[in-house]
Formats: sequence, C-alpha cells, structure tokens
Amino acid sequence: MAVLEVDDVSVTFGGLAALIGVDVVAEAGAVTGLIGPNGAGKTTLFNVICGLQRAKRGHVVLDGRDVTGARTFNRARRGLARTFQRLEVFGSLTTRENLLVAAEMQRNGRDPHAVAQEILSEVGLTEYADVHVDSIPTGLARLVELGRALATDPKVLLLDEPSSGLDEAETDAFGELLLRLAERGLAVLLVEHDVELVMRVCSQIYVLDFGEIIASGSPDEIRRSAAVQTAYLGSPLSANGSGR
Amino acid sequence: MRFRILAVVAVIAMVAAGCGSRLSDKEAAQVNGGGGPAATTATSGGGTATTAAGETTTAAAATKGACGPGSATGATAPGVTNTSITIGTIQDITGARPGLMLGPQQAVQAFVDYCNSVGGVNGRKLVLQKYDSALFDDQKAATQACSGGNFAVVGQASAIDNTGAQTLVDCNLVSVPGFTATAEFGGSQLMVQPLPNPPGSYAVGGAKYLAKRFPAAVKKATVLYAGIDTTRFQVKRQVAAFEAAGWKYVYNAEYNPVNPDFSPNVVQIKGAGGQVWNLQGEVTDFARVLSLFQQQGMNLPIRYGGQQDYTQELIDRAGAAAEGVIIEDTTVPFEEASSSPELQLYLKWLKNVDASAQPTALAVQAWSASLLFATALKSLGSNVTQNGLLDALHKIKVWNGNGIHATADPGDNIPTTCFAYLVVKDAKFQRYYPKKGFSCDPQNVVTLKGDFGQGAARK
Amino acid sequence: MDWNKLLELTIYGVALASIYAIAASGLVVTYTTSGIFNFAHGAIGMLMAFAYWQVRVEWGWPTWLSLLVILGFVAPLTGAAIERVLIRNLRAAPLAVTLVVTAALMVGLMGLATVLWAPNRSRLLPGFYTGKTVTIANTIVTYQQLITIGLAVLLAIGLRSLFLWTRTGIAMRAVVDSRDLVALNGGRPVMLSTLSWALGAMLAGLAGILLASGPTGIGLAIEALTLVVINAYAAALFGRLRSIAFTFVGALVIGLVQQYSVGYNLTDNAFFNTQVVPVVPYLMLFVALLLLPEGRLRGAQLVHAIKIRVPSLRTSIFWGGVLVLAGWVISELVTGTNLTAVSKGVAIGIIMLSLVPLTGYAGQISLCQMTFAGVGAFAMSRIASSGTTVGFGSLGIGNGNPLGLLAAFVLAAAVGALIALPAIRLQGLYLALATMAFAVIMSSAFFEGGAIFGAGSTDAGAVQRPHFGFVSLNSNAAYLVFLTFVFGLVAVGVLALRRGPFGRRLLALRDSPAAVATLGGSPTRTKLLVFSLSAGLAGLGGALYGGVDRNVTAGQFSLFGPPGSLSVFVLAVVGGVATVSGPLLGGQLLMMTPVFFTWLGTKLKTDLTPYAQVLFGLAGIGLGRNPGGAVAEISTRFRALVMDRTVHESESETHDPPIEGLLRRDVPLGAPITPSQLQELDALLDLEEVSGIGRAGSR
Repeated sequence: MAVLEVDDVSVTFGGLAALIGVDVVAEAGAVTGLIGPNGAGKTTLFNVICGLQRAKRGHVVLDGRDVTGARTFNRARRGLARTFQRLEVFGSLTTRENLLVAAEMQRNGRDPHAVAQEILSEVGLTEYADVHVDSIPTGLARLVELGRALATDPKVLLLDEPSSGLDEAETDAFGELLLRLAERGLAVLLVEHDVELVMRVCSQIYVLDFGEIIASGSPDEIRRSAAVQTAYLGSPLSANGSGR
Repeated sequence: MRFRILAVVAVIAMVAAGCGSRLSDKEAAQVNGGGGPAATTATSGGGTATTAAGETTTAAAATKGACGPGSATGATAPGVTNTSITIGTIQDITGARPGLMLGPQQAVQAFVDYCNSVGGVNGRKLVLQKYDSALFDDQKAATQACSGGNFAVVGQASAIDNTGAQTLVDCNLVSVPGFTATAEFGGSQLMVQPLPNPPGSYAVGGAKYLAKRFPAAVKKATVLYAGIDTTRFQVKRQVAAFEAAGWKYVYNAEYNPVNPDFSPNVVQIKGAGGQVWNLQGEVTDFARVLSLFQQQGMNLPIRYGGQQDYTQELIDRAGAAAEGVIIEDTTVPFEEASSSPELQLYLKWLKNVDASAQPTALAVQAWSASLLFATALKSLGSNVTQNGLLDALHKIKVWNGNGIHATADPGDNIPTTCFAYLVVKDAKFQRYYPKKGFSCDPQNVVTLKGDFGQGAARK
Repeated sequence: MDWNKLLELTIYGVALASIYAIAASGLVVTYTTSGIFNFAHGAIGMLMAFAYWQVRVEWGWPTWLSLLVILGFVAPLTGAAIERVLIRNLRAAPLAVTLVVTAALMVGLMGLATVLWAPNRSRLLPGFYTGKTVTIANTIVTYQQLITIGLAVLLAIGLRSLFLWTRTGIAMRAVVDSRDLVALNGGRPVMLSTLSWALGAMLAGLAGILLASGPTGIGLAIEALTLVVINAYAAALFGRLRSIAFTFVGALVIGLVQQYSVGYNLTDNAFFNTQVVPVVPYLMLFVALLLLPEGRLRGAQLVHAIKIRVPSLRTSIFWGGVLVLAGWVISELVTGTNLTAVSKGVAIGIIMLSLVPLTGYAGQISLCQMTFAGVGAFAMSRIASSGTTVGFGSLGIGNGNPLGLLAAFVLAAAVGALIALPAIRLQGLYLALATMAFAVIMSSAFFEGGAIFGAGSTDAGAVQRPHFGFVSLNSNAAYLVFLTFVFGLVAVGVLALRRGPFGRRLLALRDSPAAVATLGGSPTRTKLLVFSLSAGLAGLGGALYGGVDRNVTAGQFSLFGPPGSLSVFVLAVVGGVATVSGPLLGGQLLMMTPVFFTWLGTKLKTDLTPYAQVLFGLAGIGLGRNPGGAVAEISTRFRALVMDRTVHESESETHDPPIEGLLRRDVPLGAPITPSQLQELDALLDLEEVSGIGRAGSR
C-alpha cells in the first residue's frame, strides 16, 4: 500500500530547474531506493516531501492525505520522519536526550524513557547513551539521527545517505536494520550513494538525474537500464553495471 | 543612551524661570523709575516678614559678616565639633556628561576656602566633603552624604535631583542647594534655596513684560522642548503660567532629544504664524533652531532663552543667527561684575580653586547657597543643630546673595518676583531690560492650578 | 491642502532620507559580505566625524584635504582593521557572540572618542557652503542638503553599478549566496570582506560627517551621533540587508515619515505626539521586520554545541545553599553603597538568569530583557503598594505584599507573550533586531510617560520590598540575603528545567529548528512558552531590583540604560548564558565595574568612565575566543587543571563534512577543476539546498 506519494513535483531555484515532474511512490513494508548522481536533486525532493521546501507544482500525499500545503511539523505528526544528509543532530544533547526529544513529542502514551532505551539498543548506540552527540563520530551520529526519527514512531521514514561514514561491517548491519524496519510495516525511502547497499535492501528503486526520474523499477531492472548507465558513467555498460 | 543629559538644561531652565528676586523697596523704586511697586512690602501669597527697609538692610548687613572669627564650641550635632563643621556637597561630576556641574562644585569649594580664610563661621572651620550624583545617581550620592557624618548638604547642583530628595529628608539632612530641578526637591520640607523653585508656582515677570510690550506677538507663542520628564514637567508649568499671564501658545511640541533635524518643527512654527519662540533643552539645540530660522528667513520678533543659553557657546554656534535673542537672567550679569563686590569675591576665589575655571550662572547660585547657609549658621552661635539650622533658614525672607543675584524669599520658598533680560547684540550679551538691576513686582509670581507634584516630606 | 507645506516637508524628508540611505547602505555592504551585523556602524560614523573635526578645525586643513584624508584613508583603514582583527574570527561564531562583540565595539569606540576628545569643551563642525541656499518651489534648501541628496543618488547609482557590472561587485553579491562557491571560482572572499568593511566604514563616516556638520546639524555629540545612525538600521532592514535598491526605498520611507510625523499635527492626542512620534523609525523597523516573508527553518550550521554538564538536583541545591551563605557573609562585610551595588548585581543576575532558557538554551536573542524587568517593577510598584500612587491608578493591596512579585512575573510574562507572537516567525538576527526595536518603543511609549516612573510625581517610581510576616527585609543586609536566596531558587529551577523535557526541547530548538519541525515539534508553541517564561523571570528580577533602592526610573529599563537591556545581554553572554553561574558573574560585573572605576578614579583624581568603556569594548571583543563565555572558559581550564587532562580545543568544533577542507582553500584561476573537486562541488550544491534555509538574514 502506498503510504507516500510524490506526484508531479517540480521545483525551480531561480533559473535552475531542480526537480522536474517527479513521481515517486513508497510502499509500506518496503525499502524504496532513490539514487542518482550528485546534484540530481535528491535532497531537494526530501525537503519537498517533509515541507522544508515549497514546490512550484505537484502534490505530496501522505497516508492518503494531501499534505502539499501542510507545515513540516504537521507532516511529522502524521507519521513522516527523516534524517539529513548534513547532520542535524542536537549536538548540545546526549544521544539519549536526542531520542527523548523525539519521544516526548509523541502523544501515543508511551513512556519516552522506555522508548529511548529501546531505540538505543535497536540501533546499537547504548554505549554512547550519555555522551554529547557533538563528540560522537559522524557515522554514529547518523545513527542517532535515525534513532531519533524512529522515536517518532513514523509510518514513512526518509533516510538521506545514512550510511556514509560507516565501514563495511557497519553498513551490513545497517542494511539488516533497514530490512527489519520494513518488516515492521514502515515505508522507508532511502537516498544512498552506496549502490550495493541499495541493490541489496531495496525492492523498488528510482533513479534521479538532473531533476528528472530517468528510471524506476526493481534492482535488476535498474541494473540493466541503459539510461541509468549513461547517467552515471556517460555511456551504457556491459555486464555487472556496478555504477559509481 | 543618555537622553536625560538634557535634563541638565531643563534644570537650568527651571532655575531661570523660577528665579528672580525681590528688590528692597528702595532699589525697586529706582529700577522702575519711581512708580511701580512702592508697596512691594505687601506680599504675594507667602507672607514675607519684611515690613520695612530696615529689616532688609539688616539682612544685607548680616550676610557681610557671615564668616569670621568667633568662639563657638560644642559637638552639638552630627558633623559639628568644637572647631569644625562638616558639610557635604553634591553635583553631577562624572557620568554621561562629565564635568556638567563642575562649576557649582568649584563655587562651593571657593566659598569654603574664602570662609575659612577669614575664620570660618563663629570660629568653626568648614570641612567640605564632595559627592557625585553623576546625572543618574542622586539617590546614591544622597545615601553617601547621609552616612558621611555631614551636618548639612550645601550647594547641591544635580540635574535629576528627585531620587535623593526623600533620602535626605529621611536622614534629617538639611539641604541648601544652588538650584532644584524637580518637584520632590523643589518642595522638600528640609530644603531652602537662594532662588526658590517650588512646583506649585511660577515666575511670570518676564512673560508679563513681553505681553505688555508685544501684546500681539505673545498671542502666537511657540515652545519646543526636549522629550524628557524634567523638561516636560517644566514646560507644563510654564505654559499654564504664561497663558494665565495673557500668552497664547499656537505650537507647543516636544522633540526627540536625539534629533537629526529640526526642519519640520520650524515648518510648523512657520505654519502656525509663531511670533514668540523658546526652546527648553540643550543650548546646542537652541542654537540649531536659531540657525534654521535664519536660513528660512524667519524673523520672529521674540526669540528668548534661559540661563542655560547665557553662554559663549550660544554665540559661537549660532553666530549671526543669535543676534536679537533675549535671555532671561536672574543673576548679576558677568559683564557687570564691577557693580557687585560679592560677584568679584566669587570670581577671585574661583581662580584660587582652579585658575582656568569658567564662571557660570549656576555656579553663582551655588556660591549664594553657601553664603545663605553660612548666614543662617552664624545666627545659631554655639548651639548648632539641624532643626535649628532649618528654622534659621526659614527666617531669611529677603535674600540676594549679598548682591550677586536678584532678591528672593528663601525662607518662604517663594520664587523670585524679579527678572531681567539680556540681549545678544554684536556677538555680545548686553542689557535689554531693565536698564539696571532687576524689575520686580509681587504679581510676578503666580500660583499654579493643578497638580505639579509634591515635595519630599517627613514621614 | 497646503501643498507648499507638503512639498517642503517632502524635500526635507528626502534630505534626511539621503543621510539614512548613505548610512544604511554601508551597513548592508558589510553585512552581505561578512554575514555579521555591525552594531558599531553608527559609532564608526561618529568617530569619523570627530576625526574630521580634528583635521579640519583643530589642525586647520582645507576642507577637500580633510575629507580626502578621513574618507579616503582613515575611515577605510579603520574598517579594514576592524574586519581583520575582529570580524574575520567571527565568521563561524554564533549570532549572540557577534552581537555582543559588535555592541561591545560600539561602547569601546564611544569610550575611545571620549578619551581622545574630552567633553570639557564645545566643538563646532563647520558645514558645507553654510549660508548658501536655493529656493525650490517655495522651499528654501541649503547647498549642504542638495549635496547630501546628490551624494545619495550618486551612491545609489554607484553601488548598483558596482554590484551589477563589476567583477568585484558581482563577487560581493555572490558571496551573499555562497562564499564557498566564490572561492572555488577564483574569487577571494577574504579580500572582498576587507574591501567591503573599508567601504562600509567610509559610508558610515560620510553619514556621520554630514549629520554632525553645520549650524543646524547634530554637532559633535558622541551619543547623539551614534544613535541617529541607528535610526538608519530600519532602512537597511527594508532591503532585507541584501538589496541596495530597497534599502534606499526604506531610507526614503523612514525619512519622509519622520518629517511628516513631526511636521503635521496628525492628532491632538498628547500620548501619540509625545510618545509615539519620537520612535517612528523603530516602529518602522518593527513593521519592516514583520513584513518580511517568513524565513525558512534554519539548519544546524554555525551553531556551536553546548557541552556543559548539567548538575543534578542535589548538586544545584547544594550550590544554591552555598550561594546564600556567601550572600550572608558579604552582607555582613559590605556596607553602604557598595552593599546596594552588590545587591543590584544579584538582582540583575536574576534578570540575566531569565536569558538562560531563552538565549542560553533556546538560542533566541532578546535585547529587551530590561523592558520586561521594568514591567515587573511597575507591577510591583502598583500592586504591592498602599493604593495611593498616581498615574494608571493603582490596585494597591498593601505595602510590600508578596503577591506583588507574582503579579510582576505574570504581567511581564504576558508582555513577553505579546512580543513573542509577532516575533515567532522571525529567527536569529531579525528576532534580535525586533526585540531591540521593541525595547526602544516600550521605553518611549510606556515607561517615559511620566505616569509610570516619571519625575514630578513622587510615588510613581517607588517600588516596595516584599514584606513577609516572619522576616523583615528592611535592612539592606537582609535584602541581599533574600536576593541571593531568590537567585538560588530560580537557578535551581532553571537547571531543573534543563534536565526535563522542556529544557531538551529548547536546546533542540537552538541546535536545529529544522530537525525539531521534522520530529513534529511546532517551534511556535515552544518559542511562545520560553519567551513568556523568560519575560516572567525578568519581571520578577525587575521587581526585586527596584526594591534595592526602593525606587526606579524609566531610564533604567531602556535599551542603553544604565543598566539597560543591551548591557544586560552583553554581560550575560560574557559571563556565560548557558550556565546559571554566568549570570551571577555577569550581574556583578555590570554593577561592580563602575564602582571599581569610580573608586579608582577618585584615587587617581580623574574620570575613568571612558576608559572603563574602552575596557568593556575589549572584554566583549575578547569573548570571541570562547563563545561559552568567561565562566565556561574558566571552568574548562579549571577542570583540565584539576583533572590533569589537556583541554581539547576541538570541544568547540562542529562536524565538518569533508568538503570544508577544500572550500577553505582559494582555488586559483586557471587551474583546472578536477573531477573530485567537481564531485564535491555537486555535493556543495546539494548542500546548498539544505543550507539554503540558513542563509543570510534568516540565520
């Protein structure tokens, strides 16, 4: 079931068209990937979805409700959560406090401290629970952001390059985490540069280039798509198409 | 940042307006060419005890001998010993406008030096302690004076003197200031000053004179004043008093003390057909408007200023635009120092304190206050007490600082009924009216209707 | 309809607007290229006017030479020096620090002017072509006014040409959008910064000279000159601190409105005429700020994390007790005016504590805390009185009734909510400026009315000390102990707040409003709450402050005081606004420093006030070293000392994406851009989309 629908969204910055007629659908219980070269507009799309950026045209539908004009915090209250490419952690707070802030904003009756504790172990941050996030290595800080987003008990989770800074083992663990989240019913929309990770965990992938969706489909379809290869490498590839 | 700096000017203005003096019958007759107030002994709402010229001469004689040797003894009050009397003095010395009231402080010091040089008061030397009200710290200075072992506070000159007024009353310190700026101090129960300025009355001598000479012009009076409490308060009284004296204000506006441009005010004055103009504020602003008048080719028949504008700075700043400006003055003009031995005495001892010191009208008042204090003190002999001092001060109902300013009634706290005008002519201050001395009339002081504040009182 | 009058006032309005435009454009130029709002802009202009007097009058140089030297050399050099020494280091500093530094610079420059040109003589600055006038449509206009207008027009054309057609100018504009991109394209942001500050200082100097000179000019008055240029800030806001064109429009509007409001009797209402008209530029500033489109939510860049350990409840109560004990000891040792100074210091400390949740935790700048304090003092004076006070009537429920303190809190909190409502959509600098305008407006419209704390009415400014049945606070010693007790109580409360959900929310709001929004938090509600709380605490502090002297005056609660909201803010930040000990230090600094200098001055027999001001300037500037404030600096080093650990300078660094390293280097023209640089550039553009929310003006 499509929990998130992006419908014909266009965004221009001055003379630059950052997004052109973008259509994206994220289903519940699945991890949807969004890949593309740098500057393609992925973060802009995220900003539009969560309301930090106004679109010139198009709609954002969340859980069946058109939230195109809604303010960011209202969208969040409807179950939309995100992480940021450039960290937006609360550096002055500890890891636990970061999670608490998010948990305390929910009105679902759950004890914020219990929620925070749960997420700490789920995401693997118990060791850093009472350390100021500002002192935590970047890669782990991204996990804090993820945990924070999870603490809002979201329906849709937008992840913006969450694995940068993680080593291979950590990335694997992270991939497992994503699949577990999807199993729970979340719709995860994942922006990533690590194409391997994307191929592994995503059931649907969109490819964005110069503001336009140039391809969408299963990992296999994407792997074989000539358009994708051109976009990434300048020309179509032969066999394994391992991207950048 | 310190808008209230301009309160200083307000003070001066209030002093100018509230001051004046009552001449003795003889002098009054002389000044007014024989006619006039022969019945000046009749009082104007206050009840001076002067019934004959005799008593005034006694007063005059008394002041001459205020300081001198004697054999007073006894530690009869705080600050009093066998051989000395400690007094405090408060002025705005540092703060937002450094050196603002340095003149009065120097005047008090000069008087103390002079007095001690001839033996003190009844043989007790005066010991002077100085406090700094720094424009906004009157209460602090008053508190310090209260706990400083002083017998009295003499020659105070503070632009904002209300916050300390009650403090001084509460610690029973009698004040004999050079001037007062606010209602609290001007009406204080424990304050007597040489040129009174109580909140409920106002001197209108100058206004009446101008009304007589320029009856049409005073019906188109205008006044500009700095937008701070003390000047607002001052102008409120002035407008009430002058309109009772036959004036009519067609433009009465305050200006932002930090004012980049007076042009719109001048446009308003022009539009209202103003014929008389006054500004209560800093002399720099006074000069600015004068220059604007000149620029605009506006020749108002009467542009008048107060004591704070009686400075060389006015002429330096406004230049030719100041020609014809009249200044209301109640102290003997410095240009006529030769006619006043006391003024010369002040000037001499001032040089002793600081060779480069500049005499000012307010400093003259502080000297007069010191003399007034010494005079009352002398009458107490050995048994000097604070209440006794207050009583003695209240008995002095005719006072001209031994010829240094127009006569007034400190004892009853009645503003002067006298005034004089100087005029700026050929870049100098010259006499305008009267030809000599001051012009007096008991009718020159009016009681104001309405509430203009209360003086500090004993609880 | 008197067309003559309208025309006349319009021409004078244009003349005044021209000066504002010159001043404002200087401010815009410096802001756009450095991102720092120069509070000291007016002070620079004032200083140049004095310097001009020095060469023109004191040394007698010809006018053309004097102008050339001052505007062509002294002013630009001063601007460049300020940029080099100060501004450059502030680029990554939090907004509070930049405000404090430039405000301190302003005070320092004013002190410097007082030292160099002692106020014990009058100085006249001759005008330009004095006495020469022309008549335009029945209006007499001076040559100087025409020259001023002409200069403004030339400046408008010149700046526009500079920004549109010259390489340097385009680079300056580009730096607004992306400093880093300019670097990558071969521009040198650093050089541009210096240049723009030189230009800004020159323009400030020109405005200062024009304002001060001539028989109708303001003259060489240190404060007046500085303050009038501040009127011009509103014009700069019209242009959102970016558009020169709109800055000129703004200056025109302000100049005209100012002249019209004085030149016409709009109403007979005395209140309007005497209390609203004088603050018209600030009303316009306020309006201009509110008309700005709502800024996009800021991201986390340029925010230093606060990593101060929060004491536990037990610890805070313990130290609170220690404080009260210390207060008792001091009350026994110190007497007289020193005792009242220390007491006032503690009361101010309570007012500064109100800034901890607001600025320290939530990162919202408020330059009007003393306004709230004044409202509190007002409530106390009216409620806790015997009912015979004048003006505004009185609800006196008895002298010193402690409910007066509650009333102070409540009324001040209400006023805080009132200003929070329009201010909610503002962030960062704009919020700060809005609170500043509010402080000035309230000063004029409310406090200076005479009915509130006016002179001429004895009781109006009287503020009683709270009277508790079981203990008398009549003695100053007892009152000091009481004050330390209240300080301790409030401090413990603030720390408890920090440990709880609301405190976390505040810090989150400070670190990343964008993230807070994406988690479902409405910044509006949080801001409203924290503003009200903060205002309430300030009101409480104000009521207690009034009780020290048992008397207050309107001036104490203005922007500049003394003490004033600006000093309170500056010293709170200097002391350390994210801790509760910082305000204690800040309050004592504010009150005791003048005492110290007065004492020293009497010993040395000179007035040391201007030197104190210069020192204040240096202290604020020194803050740039440690944004956590003096207490944080001291405690950091103390901890290191005690625990034998080296102090990690990196404690104050934020996360740097790998790009930053590249961006700090200048890429010379002609060198090819490598693919990896390109990749990073793309990432930069991606970044821009997020950080675009935090650009100049809505920071």
